Amino acid sequence: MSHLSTLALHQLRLGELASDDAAAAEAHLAACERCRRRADAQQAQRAAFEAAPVPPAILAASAPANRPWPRWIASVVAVAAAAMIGVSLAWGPHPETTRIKGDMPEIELWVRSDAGVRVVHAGEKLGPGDVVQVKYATDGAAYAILAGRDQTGEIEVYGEVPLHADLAEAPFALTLDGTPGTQEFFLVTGRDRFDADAARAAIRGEREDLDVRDVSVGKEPW
Amino acid sequence: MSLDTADLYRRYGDMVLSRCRTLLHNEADAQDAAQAVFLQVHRARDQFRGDAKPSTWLWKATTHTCLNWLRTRRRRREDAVEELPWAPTDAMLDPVEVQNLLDAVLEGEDERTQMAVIYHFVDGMTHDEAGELLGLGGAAVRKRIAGFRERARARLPADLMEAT
Repeated sequence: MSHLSTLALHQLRLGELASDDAAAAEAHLAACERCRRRADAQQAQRAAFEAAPVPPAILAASAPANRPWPRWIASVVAVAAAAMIGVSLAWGPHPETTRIKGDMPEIELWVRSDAGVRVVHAGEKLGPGDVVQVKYATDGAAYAILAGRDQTGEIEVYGEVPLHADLAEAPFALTLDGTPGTQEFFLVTGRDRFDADAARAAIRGEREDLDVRDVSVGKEPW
Repeated sequence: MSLDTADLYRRYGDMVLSRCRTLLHNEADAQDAAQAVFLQVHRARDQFRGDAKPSTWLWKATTHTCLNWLRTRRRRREDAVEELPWAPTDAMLDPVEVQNLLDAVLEGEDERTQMAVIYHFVDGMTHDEAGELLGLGGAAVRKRIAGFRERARARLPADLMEAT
């Protein structure tokens, strides 16, 4: 005797079967104890699922009306970076990054010009007074922090950022000053809340449970 | 048409999550994989026309995501299968049978054959039903499953390999 497929049981439960198919499925259920038990199992899974909260990453991907966060206030932080010289843009997974299963969080660098905000290209010159904007996506993470590091090597934690499934602007912009050097930006993400010390440790490659993505602006010889 | 991802999750999240549990048999992986499915759907949301049932393309997307997960586990030689608390299943096979079947089908089959085997043996679909999800005719599905049976004969119990 052939049985209802697991998908058909879900579709019957959800009201997604055409009326003929639904009638045939109901008739089978009436006659088949095994499929009735499978249908009961789906009802039990549904009840348990409804009792659990929607994951933050899913809410972040949803319409703004669904999101519970307050508005973020932009703040401007002065940052040392390459000045009026060629810059190279290197970006991608941090060398010590732990691979995350599925899609990845991302971080990108954009600059504000008269024409609007645009992505920084390799070989582009950035100078003092340029305002760079970090854009990022946290994918499936539950908590995210942005940080930076200049040529002195000291890691500066900017703070927690809202979760976004798609690329979105960080809540703060950064103004470049005239000090030549390299500026890196890091997106640190994790499954649970973590603090600034943990973010620094992750950037140094000491935390396998946190993911780090980085983008940097540095100087290149002419 | 633009879908709201949280609404999709509220309606279909249990279906996706329980399928991930069935195939991955690890609670943390199942939660991560289920989220990954909805986030992938979110990224592609502008591509969906209104004619296909969400349950159908979610079923395909979840199967595909779980297969990727399983292949990554094999590459990393991870043994991630854990004791999940016993719960009645809506699958056609019990957890041990599912794991044995997945081990066999991940050994050397292409992805469409892997999906055909899962749709047929784990989900209880007929060849025609599996064919609809795969864009194949029922006969083509039967052929792929027969080929898999031949190659996996030594590894799987006889009753699983009964002609259906």
